[in-house]
Amino acid sequence: MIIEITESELLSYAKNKKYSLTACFPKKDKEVYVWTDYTSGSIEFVMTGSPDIDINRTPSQTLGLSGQFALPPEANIGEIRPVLHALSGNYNAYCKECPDDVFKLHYGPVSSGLWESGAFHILSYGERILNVAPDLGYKHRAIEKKICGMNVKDALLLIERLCGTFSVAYSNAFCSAVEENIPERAEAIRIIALELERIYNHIHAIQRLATAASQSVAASQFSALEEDVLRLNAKFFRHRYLFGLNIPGGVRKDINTKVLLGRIIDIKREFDKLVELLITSTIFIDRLHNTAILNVEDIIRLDTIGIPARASGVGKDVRSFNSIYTDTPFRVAVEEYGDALSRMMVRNSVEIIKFFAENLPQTELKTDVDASGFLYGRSEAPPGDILTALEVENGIIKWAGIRPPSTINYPAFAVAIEGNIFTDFSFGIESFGLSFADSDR
Amino acid sequence: MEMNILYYIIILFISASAFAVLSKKITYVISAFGSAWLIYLAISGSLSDHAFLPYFLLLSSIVWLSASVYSIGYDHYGKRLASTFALTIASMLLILVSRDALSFLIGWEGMTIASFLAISARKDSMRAAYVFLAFGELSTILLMLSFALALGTTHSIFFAAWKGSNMWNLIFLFALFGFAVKMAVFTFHIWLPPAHSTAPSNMSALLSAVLTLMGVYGIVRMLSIQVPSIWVSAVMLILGGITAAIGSLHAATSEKVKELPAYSTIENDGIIFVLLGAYIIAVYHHNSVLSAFTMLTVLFYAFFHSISKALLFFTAGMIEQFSPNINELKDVKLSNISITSGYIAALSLAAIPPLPGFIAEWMALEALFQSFEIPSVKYKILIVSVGAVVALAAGIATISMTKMISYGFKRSTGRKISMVDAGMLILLSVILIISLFPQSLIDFVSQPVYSLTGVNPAVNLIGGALAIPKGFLILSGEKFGGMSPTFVFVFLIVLVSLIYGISKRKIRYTEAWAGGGEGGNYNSLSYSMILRYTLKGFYRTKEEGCRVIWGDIFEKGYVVTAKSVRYASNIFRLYLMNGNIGVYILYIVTAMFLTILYVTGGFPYVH
Amino acid sequence: MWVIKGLRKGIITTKYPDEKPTKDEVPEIGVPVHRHGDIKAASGVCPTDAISEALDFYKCIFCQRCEDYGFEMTGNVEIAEVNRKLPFSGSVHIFLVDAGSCNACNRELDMLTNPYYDLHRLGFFFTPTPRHADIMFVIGKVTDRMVEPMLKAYEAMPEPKIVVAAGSCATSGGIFGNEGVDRYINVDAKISGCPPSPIGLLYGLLKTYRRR
Repeated sequence: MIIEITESELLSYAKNKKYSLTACFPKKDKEVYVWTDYTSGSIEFVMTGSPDIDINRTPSQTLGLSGQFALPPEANIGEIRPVLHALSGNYNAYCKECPDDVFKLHYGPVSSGLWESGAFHILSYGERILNVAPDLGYKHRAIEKKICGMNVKDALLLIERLCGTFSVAYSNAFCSAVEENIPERAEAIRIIALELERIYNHIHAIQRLATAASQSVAASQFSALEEDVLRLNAKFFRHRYLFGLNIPGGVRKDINTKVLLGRIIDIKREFDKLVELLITSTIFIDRLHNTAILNVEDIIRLDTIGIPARASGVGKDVRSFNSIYTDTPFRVAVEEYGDALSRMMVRNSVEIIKFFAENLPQTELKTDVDASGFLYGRSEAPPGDILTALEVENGIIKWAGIRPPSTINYPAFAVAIEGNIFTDFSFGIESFGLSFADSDR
Repeated sequence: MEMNILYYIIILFISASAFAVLSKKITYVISAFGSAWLIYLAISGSLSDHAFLPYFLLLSSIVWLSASVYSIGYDHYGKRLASTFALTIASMLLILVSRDALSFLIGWEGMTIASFLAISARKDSMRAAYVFLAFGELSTILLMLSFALALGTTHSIFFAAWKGSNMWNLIFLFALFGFAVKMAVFTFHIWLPPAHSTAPSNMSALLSAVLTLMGVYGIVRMLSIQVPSIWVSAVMLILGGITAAIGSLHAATSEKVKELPAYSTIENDGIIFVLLGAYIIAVYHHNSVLSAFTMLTVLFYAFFHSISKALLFFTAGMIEQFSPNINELKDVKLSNISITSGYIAALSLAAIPPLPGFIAEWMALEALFQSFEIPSVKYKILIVSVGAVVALAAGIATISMTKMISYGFKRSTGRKISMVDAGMLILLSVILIISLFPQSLIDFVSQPVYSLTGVNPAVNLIGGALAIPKGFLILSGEKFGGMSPTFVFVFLIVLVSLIYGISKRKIRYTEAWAGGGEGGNYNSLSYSMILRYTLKGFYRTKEEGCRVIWGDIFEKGYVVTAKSVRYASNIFRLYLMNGNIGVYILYIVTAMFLTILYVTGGFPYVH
Repeated sequence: MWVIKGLRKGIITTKYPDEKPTKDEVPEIGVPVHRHGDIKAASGVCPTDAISEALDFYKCIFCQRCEDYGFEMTGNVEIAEVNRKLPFSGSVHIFLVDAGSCNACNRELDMLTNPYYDLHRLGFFFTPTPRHADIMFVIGKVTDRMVEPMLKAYEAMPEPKIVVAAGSCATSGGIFGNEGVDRYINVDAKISGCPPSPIGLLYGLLKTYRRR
């Protein structure tokens, strides 16, 4: 399913505003570019090569070192699609030149504000942030390289732990790549788990925003609510972060949905009350309003996906292309303004759980899996969508390419935070909901 | 007669300036010798002419001595600077010595002109020197006005004979504004930063420490003749408070090595101006203890400021040779004595105990807080509000001084000791002695304060209480507050030694923690960016791309005024006085006509 | 309004460590324990080679594959061992170094400060700088770029200090490698789990000082 094209055809893809550049993977001596049309859901894999690339290059993305990608100079795609620098690991391209009295702060990698290991190069002359360049790659575990040579069952264990807080999204994407038709009950259980994961991640994002605004009482209440959801996960799915739920072909164990539904509705009621109380605090709203704004032109130019895109009015959500959602009450939630407040408010999940829990089909839980060839799978993690592309032969993985949502959204964050003052940095980054473990693979 | 010696010393200084033709170093050595002689004369108590002479002479000659010694190692500007340096000192000495208006004015004008020549010794400093000269002439004009009025009403040029004049308020007001120009008080403050920052550093020290001191001396001299009405003090309080705030805020955001101490001088002079106003109020309400304490504070504050500021300018002068911008200072080489002097001077100006700045600041705030003893309500409120502004200014001064230390002295490395360090060492030892024994200074100045206010500080304002023996506690009024700087100093030393002695002394050296990556350096522009950002209106901050632009709005105001005066005079020249004979004859005839009309009573409404 | 909300919710903090944790508080599966059958048959199925004579708790990643081979999930999450304790008790400051984790261990540490567990009542606090820290908490499998920052952080901590490795990636490499943090630094305490449950973290932390 990969089409070979020439450089000029690649350039015409890049200039076509209909396509978003979703991913860019190295494959032997060529590069695979993935273009998605988010209105129709179509996805195209195109491949092109350049005479300067080293044939013996291994299929792993070594982040932080440029030169793994020798982009053809005439094509100049990086100018038209700036997200290409992040996808190819060349984060230095986001740095900007400034005169000498502007100081450069290297924020990270071990920093308590970010709670993970990642860094930013921040340029500023005092209060105002002039430019931010992400400095990622500190948590690179080379997972794509590791799963080459493993069979699909064992590879799933690593994929789940690529980012522990998005583990259902990753395993869903991976499993949907290698499977053909799985039983509907398994599918429904997977979707319930996906939405539960979305719920606890969103509560966490709101709790972090409240902590950043020093609303400690609100933060504690949200934190307790997140703990409720995690204990719910543990009780019904046997693990707090839903590890070990999926196996290629279905799910491992069954769940009891009546009690689950009752608990979820309680949690939702509590959540609505808390959010209502939080919004009445004008101090809190004032800190989020007009912070880290992204307008529609920026979204299109930077190929942003997920929550920031939806918060600015561009409804990019891969769940809308999945046929299983067609009769459900799922709608793509969209806000207009594009600041941190919009990103906080654009989240909804409980109706989906309700639908699936009430209408759980009575089928088995798993089937066999026999996959080969070039496969891909998509799923919607809390901050954005995940793309997994595999080449499988006799059940053994030969080549893997995983594109996490944070890789695309960190450059968008860098553009959004420009012009804000330092104290708004934490609001910007918490409202995006990204993770370094995620973007570094 | 004692006065003869001082006149001879003036001639000594003038001849020293002539020697500059041969060699600069001879000039400086002679002036150092002359200053040392003056110190001896002042301390020995043989000068008994008018009450405040020994104190101000002692203060000025300490600064003169250290500046001369410093200049022996510093000066590489040519012979003009050396000779005008000595001439400036000679004129200042004349001011201190004079007992009549005429010699005072000669000394005043001589000081201005000699300083002008010294400032312009540097290549690009002509504009700053010219502005300095313009304001200097303004102050001379105001003084001449005041003295002429005094001469007119009392028919004598001797200061002692002016007491009891019936236009004293006006005389005092003009003289006050004349001295206020020299002290760089609000609306006349814009000449000081450019002049002090572009002058060579030994001259800057002299300008900041002694020139402005002459303004204080003049006001104190006038006050010792007679105290004016109380509304004058309202003027002084308001102007002084605004000056302190402006000086402090601009010092904190200044990015040039010599401009920061210059603005700090403006701030400190503002505080002295406020204290002088509070003195007038205390005298008016016949509160002799408070007035004695306030006058004592003025004198002590002037002492602390001159010594610390001179030392700061000495060290800033060494730093400035690397770059005039604070942002660009890297690999500055200073000797250990210079680094210590820089720290002590900056900490003293930031009012950190046990240094004299702390003592002076404490005394100033105590004097202002005792306004509750003033019966008049509106003056009480005025003093309290101005006191709050003074406290704000003192707080923001900490920002400017820590900026100077962090970016100027902290990163300096070793260098050999030279003559400049000897000059700094003199001031450093004076500061440390005064921190340990401020009572000695208070004793020295008790006699003049007693003769002025009737309360002898050495008796009433120094005492002992609790565990502190008599003679070590400075009291701030009748049962109000007290502090013993000696004991603070001793306590700090004992505490530090105790902690050091008891500790295990297992020391491990590691790198600074910067997040595990390369870290980054917070540079000096960003250090004060928060002030420029929150007080945008005051600084007129503009952020354009990667650059920040801010400035002093009063300087811009003066430029606008100067431009409009030129414009108006252009209009006058082109249209009214245009050289046309016919128009001039018209003017003459019109004037004659109007005069005849007035004299013969033709105007019905005049009379 | 928040006051009324808080009062209505009541006290939800767990009574651990004074009482054992209830089933509602720890509903997850916990570590597996061998109950019946031949343990040799199970040793091939574990992806991290944790099963030899017995199950090595520090390598277990809770994949639940051994359940079909005679292992039972006990629900026990308190597995930790401490070689060296801190010489004081109370007001212990923890500094977190994330050396390449998957973000689940980070989230569990974040959950320790919520009202259910409330770390502060036991005398532990998180600090943003190693200069104030007593415990260095390392999670994740150490990646190449994180070796140097981790060692720098250890250098910057003043004595007395201990290193706690939490989670299977840090203690033994887990599924991502063969060696844990002890390849680079002496590890004084180990806590098992993938990720370690908050109760497990509390158990391990409480053992590191003299009170217990």
